[in-house]
Amino acid sequence: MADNFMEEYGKETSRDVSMRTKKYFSDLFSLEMPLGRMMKMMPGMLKFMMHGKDTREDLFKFMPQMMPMMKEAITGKKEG
Amino acid sequence: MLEQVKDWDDDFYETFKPIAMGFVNEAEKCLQCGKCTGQCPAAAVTPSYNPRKIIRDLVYGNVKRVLSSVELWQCFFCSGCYSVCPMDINFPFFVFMFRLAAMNEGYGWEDVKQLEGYAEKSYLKDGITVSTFERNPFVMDNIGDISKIRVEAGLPPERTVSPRGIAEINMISDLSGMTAFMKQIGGVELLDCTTCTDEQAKRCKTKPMPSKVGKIKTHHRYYNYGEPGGKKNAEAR
Repeated sequence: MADNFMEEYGKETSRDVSMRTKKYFSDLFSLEMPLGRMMKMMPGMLKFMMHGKDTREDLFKFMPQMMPMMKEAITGKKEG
Repeated sequence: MLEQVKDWDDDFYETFKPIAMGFVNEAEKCLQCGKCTGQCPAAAVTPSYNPRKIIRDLVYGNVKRVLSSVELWQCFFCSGCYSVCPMDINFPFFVFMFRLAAMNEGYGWEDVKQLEGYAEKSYLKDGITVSTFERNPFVMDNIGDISKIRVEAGLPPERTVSPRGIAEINMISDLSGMTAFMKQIGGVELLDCTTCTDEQAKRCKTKPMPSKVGKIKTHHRYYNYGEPGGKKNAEAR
Protein backbone atom coordinates (compact mmCIF):
# COMPACT_ATOMS: atom_id res chain seq x y z
CA MET A 1 0.00 0.00 0.00
CA ALA A 2 1.27 3.48 -0.82
CA ASP A 3 2.70 5.53 2.01
CA ASN A 4 2.09 9.00 0.57
CA PHE A 5 0.39 10.67 -2.35
CA MET A 6 3.52 10.59 -4.51
CA GLU A 7 3.65 6.81 -4.27
CA GLU A 8 -0.09 6.56 -4.78
CA TYR A 9 0.10 8.32 -8.14
CA GLY A 10 3.28 6.52 -9.17
CA LYS A 11 4.55 7.71 -12.55
CA GLU A 12 1.59 9.99 -13.18
CA THR A 13 2.58 13.64 -13.11
CA SER A 14 0.47 16.61 -12.00
CA ARG A 15 0.11 17.47 -15.68
CA ASP A 16 -1.67 14.16 -16.32
CA VAL A 17 -3.95 14.68 -13.34
CA SER A 18 -4.69 18.28 -14.29
CA MET A 19 -5.56 17.24 -17.86
CA ARG A 20 -8.01 14.71 -16.45
CA THR A 21 -9.48 17.29 -14.09
CA LYS A 22 -9.91 19.84 -16.85
CA LYS A 23 -11.57 17.30 -19.09
CA TYR A 24 -13.96 16.35 -16.28
CA PHE A 25 -15.01 19.96 -15.74
CA SER A 26 -15.32 20.78 -19.42
CA ASP A 27 -17.70 17.81 -19.76
CA LEU A 28 -19.56 18.82 -16.61
CA PHE A 29 -20.09 22.42 -17.67
CA SER A 30 -20.66 21.65 -21.32
CA LEU A 31 -23.79 23.23 -22.81
CA GLU A 32 -23.98 20.66 -25.56
CA MET A 33 -26.84 18.19 -25.49
CA PRO A 34 -25.81 14.78 -26.77
CA LEU A 35 -28.47 12.10 -27.07
CA GLY A 36 -27.20 10.20 -24.02
CA ARG A 37 -27.64 13.25 -21.83
CA MET A 38 -31.10 13.90 -23.23
CA MET A 39 -32.16 10.31 -22.53
CA LYS A 40 -31.05 10.64 -18.92
CA MET A 41 -33.38 13.62 -18.54
CA MET A 42 -36.42 11.91 -20.02
CA PRO A 43 -37.54 9.85 -16.97
CA GLY A 44 -37.70 12.98 -14.81
CA MET A 45 -39.81 14.82 -17.35
CA LEU A 46 -42.10 11.83 -17.87
CA LYS A 47 -42.65 11.44 -14.13
CA PHE A 48 -43.50 15.12 -13.90
CA MET A 49 -45.87 14.86 -16.86
CA MET A 50 -47.67 11.86 -15.36
CA HIS A 51 -48.18 13.62 -12.03
CA GLY A 52 -51.30 15.54 -13.00
CA LYS A 53 -53.09 17.71 -15.49
CA ASP A 54 -51.55 21.00 -14.33
CA THR A 55 -47.98 19.66 -14.47
CA ARG A 56 -48.65 18.30 -17.97
CA GLU A 57 -49.89 21.70 -19.12
CA ASP A 58 -46.85 23.40 -17.57
CA LEU A 59 -44.48 21.09 -19.37
CA PHE A 60 -46.22 21.58 -22.71
CA LYS A 61 -45.95 25.34 -22.29
CA PHE A 62 -42.21 24.86 -21.96
CA MET A 63 -42.00 22.63 -25.05
CA PRO A 64 -41.33 25.34 -27.69
CA GLN A 65 -38.23 26.40 -25.76
CA MET A 66 -37.07 22.81 -25.49
CA MET A 67 -37.58 21.78 -29.11
CA PRO A 68 -34.27 23.19 -30.48
CA MET A 69 -32.42 21.34 -27.71
CA MET A 70 -34.23 18.09 -28.47
CA LYS A 71 -33.61 18.47 -32.20
CA GLU A 72 -29.93 19.02 -31.51
CA ALA A 73 -29.83 15.89 -29.38
CA ILE A 74 -31.53 13.71 -31.97
CA THR A 75 -29.89 14.99 -35.16
CA GLY A 76 -26.55 15.93 -33.61
CA LYS A 77 -26.59 19.21 -35.56
CA LYS A 78 -26.59 22.63 -33.97
CA GLU A 79 -29.20 25.12 -35.21
CA GLY A 80 -28.54 28.75 -36.06
CA MET B 1 10.13 9.66 -3.24
CA LEU B 2 11.18 13.17 -4.21
CA GLU B 3 8.94 15.70 -5.88
CA GLN B 4 9.98 16.54 -9.41
CA VAL B 5 9.47 19.56 -11.65
CA LYS B 6 6.82 17.58 -13.51
CA ASP B 7 4.76 17.47 -10.33
CA TRP B 8 4.05 21.18 -10.67
CA ASP B 9 1.83 21.98 -13.65
CA ASP B 10 2.29 25.75 -13.78
CA ASP B 11 -0.25 26.23 -16.60
CA PHE B 12 -3.00 24.52 -14.67
CA TYR B 13 -4.65 27.48 -13.01
CA GLU B 14 -4.61 29.73 -16.10
CA THR B 15 -6.12 27.03 -18.31
CA PHE B 16 -8.57 25.86 -15.67
CA LYS B 17 -10.05 29.30 -14.97
CA PRO B 18 -12.07 29.66 -18.21
CA ILE B 19 -13.40 26.10 -17.89
CA ALA B 20 -14.56 26.68 -14.31
CA MET B 21 -17.32 29.12 -15.35
CA GLY B 22 -16.19 31.85 -12.96
CA PHE B 23 -16.27 29.68 -9.84
CA VAL B 24 -12.52 29.83 -9.46
CA ASN B 25 -11.19 33.37 -9.71
CA GLU B 26 -8.43 35.72 -8.65
CA ALA B 27 -6.27 33.18 -6.84
CA GLU B 28 -3.30 34.56 -8.77
CA LYS B 29 -3.65 37.70 -6.65
CA CYS B 30 -3.10 35.75 -3.42
CA LEU B 31 -0.54 37.53 -1.23
CA GLN B 32 0.04 34.45 0.93
CA CYS B 33 -0.68 36.64 3.95
CA GLY B 34 -2.36 33.78 5.80
CA LYS B 35 -5.33 35.78 7.12
CA CYS B 36 -7.61 33.01 5.85
CA THR B 37 -5.80 30.43 7.94
CA GLY B 38 -5.53 32.72 10.95
CA GLN B 39 -9.26 33.15 11.35
CA CYS B 40 -10.31 29.67 10.18
CA PRO B 41 -12.28 27.69 12.80
CA ALA B 42 -11.45 24.42 11.03
CA ALA B 43 -7.73 25.26 11.12
CA ALA B 44 -8.02 25.99 14.85
CA VAL B 45 -9.00 22.40 15.62
CA THR B 46 -7.11 20.66 12.80
CA PRO B 47 -3.80 22.50 12.45
CA SER B 48 -2.78 20.64 9.30
CA TYR B 49 -5.63 22.34 7.44
CA ASN B 50 -4.27 25.47 5.80
CA PRO B 51 -6.23 27.34 3.10
CA ARG B 52 -3.15 29.43 2.25
CA LYS B 53 -1.12 26.36 1.31
CA ILE B 54 -4.00 24.89 -0.70
CA ILE B 55 -4.32 28.09 -2.76
CA ARG B 56 -0.55 28.14 -3.28
CA ASP B 57 -0.59 24.57 -4.57
CA LEU B 58 -3.48 25.28 -6.91
CA VAL B 59 -1.88 28.37 -8.42
CA TYR B 60 1.48 26.67 -8.84
CA GLY B 61 -0.25 23.52 -10.10
CA ASN B 62 0.49 20.79 -7.58
CA VAL B 63 -2.86 19.20 -8.31
CA LYS B 64 -1.89 15.76 -7.02
CA ARG B 65 -1.21 17.05 -3.52
CA VAL B 66 -4.46 18.99 -3.25
CA LEU B 67 -6.77 16.32 -4.63
CA SER B 68 -5.38 13.47 -2.55
CA SER B 69 -5.40 15.43 0.72
CA VAL B 70 -7.67 14.96 3.70
CA GLU B 71 -7.42 18.69 4.32
CA LEU B 72 -9.54 19.50 1.26
CA TRP B 73 -12.47 17.91 3.12
CA GLN B 74 -12.05 19.80 6.40
CA CYS B 75 -13.62 23.09 5.27
CA PHE B 76 -17.23 23.55 6.35
CA PHE B 77 -18.05 26.59 4.22
CA CYS B 78 -18.36 29.29 6.88
CA SER B 79 -16.78 31.73 4.36
CA GLY B 80 -14.75 33.44 7.08
CA CYS B 81 -11.67 33.25 4.82
CA TYR B 82 -13.55 35.07 2.05
CA SER B 83 -14.68 37.81 4.42
CA VAL B 84 -11.14 38.56 5.68
CA CYS B 85 -9.26 38.09 2.40
CA PRO B 86 -7.69 41.41 1.32
CA MET B 87 -7.83 40.27 -2.31
CA ASP B 88 -11.44 38.98 -2.20
CA ILE B 89 -10.57 35.40 -3.09
CA ASN B 90 -13.59 33.17 -2.63
CA PHE B 91 -11.84 30.15 -1.18
CA PRO B 92 -15.02 28.13 -0.37
CA PHE B 93 -15.76 28.02 -4.11
CA PHE B 94 -12.31 26.54 -4.67
CA VAL B 95 -13.04 23.87 -2.08
CA PHE B 96 -16.38 23.11 -3.70
CA MET B 97 -14.85 22.73 -7.16
CA PHE B 98 -11.84 20.72 -6.09
CA ARG B 99 -13.91 18.33 -4.02
CA LEU B 100 -15.73 17.46 -7.23
CA ALA B 101 -12.37 17.00 -8.92
CA ALA B 102 -11.14 14.86 -6.01
CA MET B 103 -14.22 12.66 -6.29
CA ASN B 104 -13.51 12.30 -9.99
CA GLU B 105 -10.07 11.01 -8.98
CA GLY B 106 -11.70 8.62 -6.49
CA TYR B 107 -11.08 10.44 -3.20
CA GLY B 108 -13.51 11.50 -0.50
CA TRP B 109 -16.53 9.34 -1.34
CA GLU B 110 -16.75 8.22 2.26
CA ASP B 111 -17.54 11.80 3.32
CA VAL B 112 -20.22 12.23 0.69
CA LYS B 113 -21.79 8.89 1.64
CA GLN B 114 -23.10 10.59 4.79
CA LEU B 115 -25.46 12.67 2.67
CA GLU B 116 -27.23 9.63 1.28
CA GLY B 117 -29.65 9.50 4.22
CA TYR B 118 -30.64 13.12 3.75
CA ALA B 119 -31.13 12.71 0.04
CA GLU B 120 -33.02 9.44 -0.11
CA LYS B 121 -34.93 9.44 3.17
CA SER B 122 -35.94 13.06 3.16
CA TYR B 123 -35.28 15.19 0.14
CA LEU B 124 -36.51 13.10 -2.78
CA LYS B 125 -39.34 11.48 -0.81
CA ASP B 126 -40.72 14.33 1.28
CA GLY B 127 -39.07 17.36 -0.29
CA ILE B 128 -37.51 18.38 3.01
CA THR B 129 -33.80 18.99 3.40
CA VAL B 130 -33.79 19.07 7.19
CA SER B 131 -34.26 15.48 8.21
CA THR B 132 -37.12 14.61 10.49
CA PHE B 133 -35.16 11.68 11.91
CA GLU B 134 -32.60 14.05 13.38
CA ARG B 135 -33.29 16.31 16.33
CA ASN B 136 -30.94 18.72 18.01
CA PRO B 137 -30.57 17.40 21.60
CA PHE B 138 -30.00 20.93 22.93
CA VAL B 139 -33.31 22.09 21.49
CA MET B 140 -35.09 18.96 22.76
CA ASP B 141 -33.78 19.52 26.31
CA ASN B 142 -34.36 23.26 26.48
CA ILE B 143 -37.34 24.01 24.28
CA GLY B 144 -39.00 20.62 23.89
CA ASP B 145 -40.38 18.85 20.89
CA ILE B 146 -40.72 21.26 18.00
CA SER B 147 -43.75 19.46 16.61
CA LYS B 148 -45.76 20.41 19.74
CA ILE B 149 -44.74 24.03 19.37
CA ARG B 150 -45.73 23.91 15.71
CA VAL B 151 -49.17 22.53 16.58
CA GLU B 152 -49.65 25.26 19.21
CA ALA B 153 -48.77 27.84 16.58
CA GLY B 154 -51.42 26.38 14.28
CA LEU B 155 -48.98 24.61 11.93
CA PRO B 156 -48.89 20.92 11.02
CA PRO B 157 -46.52 18.95 13.31
CA GLU B 158 -44.01 18.32 10.50
CA ARG B 159 -43.09 20.55 7.62
CA THR B 160 -44.93 19.37 4.55
CA VAL B 161 -44.31 19.95 0.87
CA SER B 162 -47.17 19.72 -1.61
CA PRO B 163 -47.25 16.69 -3.96
CA ARG B 164 -46.70 19.04 -6.86
CA GLY B 165 -43.63 20.47 -5.13
CA ILE B 166 -42.24 16.98 -4.59
CA ALA B 167 -42.86 16.16 -8.28
CA GLU B 168 -40.94 19.29 -9.25
CA ILE B 169 -38.07 18.47 -6.91
CA ASN B 170 -37.84 14.98 -8.41
CA MET B 171 -37.85 16.34 -11.93
CA ILE B 172 -35.15 18.92 -11.17
CA SER B 173 -33.13 16.25 -9.44
CA ASP B 174 -33.41 13.93 -12.46
CA LEU B 175 -32.62 16.71 -14.93
CA SER B 176 -29.60 17.95 -13.03
CA GLY B 177 -28.22 14.45 -12.57
CA MET B 178 -28.55 14.49 -8.80
CA THR B 179 -30.66 11.33 -8.69
CA ALA B 180 -28.00 9.46 -10.66
CA PHE B 181 -25.34 10.86 -8.32
CA MET B 182 -27.24 9.68 -5.26
CA LYS B 183 -27.54 6.21 -6.77
CA GLN B 184 -23.78 6.26 -7.24
CA ILE B 185 -23.31 7.11 -3.57
CA GLY B 186 -25.65 4.25 -2.71
CA GLY B 187 -23.05 1.93 -4.27
CA VAL B 188 -20.43 3.02 -1.77
CA GLU B 189 -19.93 0.73 1.19
CA LEU B 190 -17.49 1.62 3.92
CA LEU B 191 -15.17 -0.62 5.84
CA ASP B 192 -15.31 -0.22 9.60
CA CYS B 193 -12.97 -1.11 12.46
CA THR B 194 -14.59 -4.53 12.94
CA THR B 195 -13.56 -5.64 9.48
CA CYS B 196 -10.11 -4.07 9.13
CA THR B 197 -6.87 -6.08 9.20
CA ASP B 198 -3.98 -5.51 11.66
CA GLU B 199 -2.06 -3.66 8.98
CA GLN B 200 -5.00 -1.32 8.39
CA ALA B 201 -5.46 -0.83 12.13
CA LYS B 202 -1.81 0.23 12.45
CA ARG B 203 -2.21 2.80 9.70
CA CYS B 204 -5.49 3.99 11.11
CA LYS B 205 -3.62 6.00 13.78
CA THR B 206 -2.25 8.45 11.25
CA LYS B 207 -4.46 7.96 8.23
CA PRO B 208 -8.18 7.61 7.70
CA MET B 209 -9.51 4.12 7.12
CA PRO B 210 -9.36 2.88 3.57
CA SER B 211 -12.67 2.37 1.93
CA LYS B 212 -13.25 0.13 -0.99
CA VAL B 213 -16.43 -0.11 -2.62
CA GLY B 214 -19.11 -1.03 -5.05
CA LYS B 215 -18.52 0.41 -8.45
CA ILE B 216 -16.59 3.39 -7.12
CA LYS B 217 -12.97 2.88 -6.24
CA THR B 218 -12.26 4.95 -3.18
CA HIS B 219 -8.64 5.75 -2.43
CA HIS B 220 -6.78 6.51 0.77
CA ARG B 221 -6.42 10.18 1.42
CA TYR B 222 -3.28 11.59 3.00
CA TYR B 223 -2.46 14.37 5.43
CA ASN B 224 -0.46 16.25 2.84
CA TYR B 225 -0.16 19.50 4.77
CA GLY B 226 1.16 18.38 8.14
CA GLU B 227 0.52 16.22 11.17
CA PRO B 228 -3.15 15.32 11.68
CA GLY B 229 -4.45 17.43 14.54
CA GLY B 230 -0.89 18.47 15.49
CA LYS B 231 1.80 16.13 16.76
CA LYS B 232 0.76 16.45 20.39
CA ASN B 233 -2.84 15.48 19.65
CA ALA B 234 -1.77 12.59 17.45
CA GLU B 235 0.30 11.12 20.29
CA ALA B 236 -2.45 11.65 22.85
CA ARG B 237 -4.75 9.45 20.82
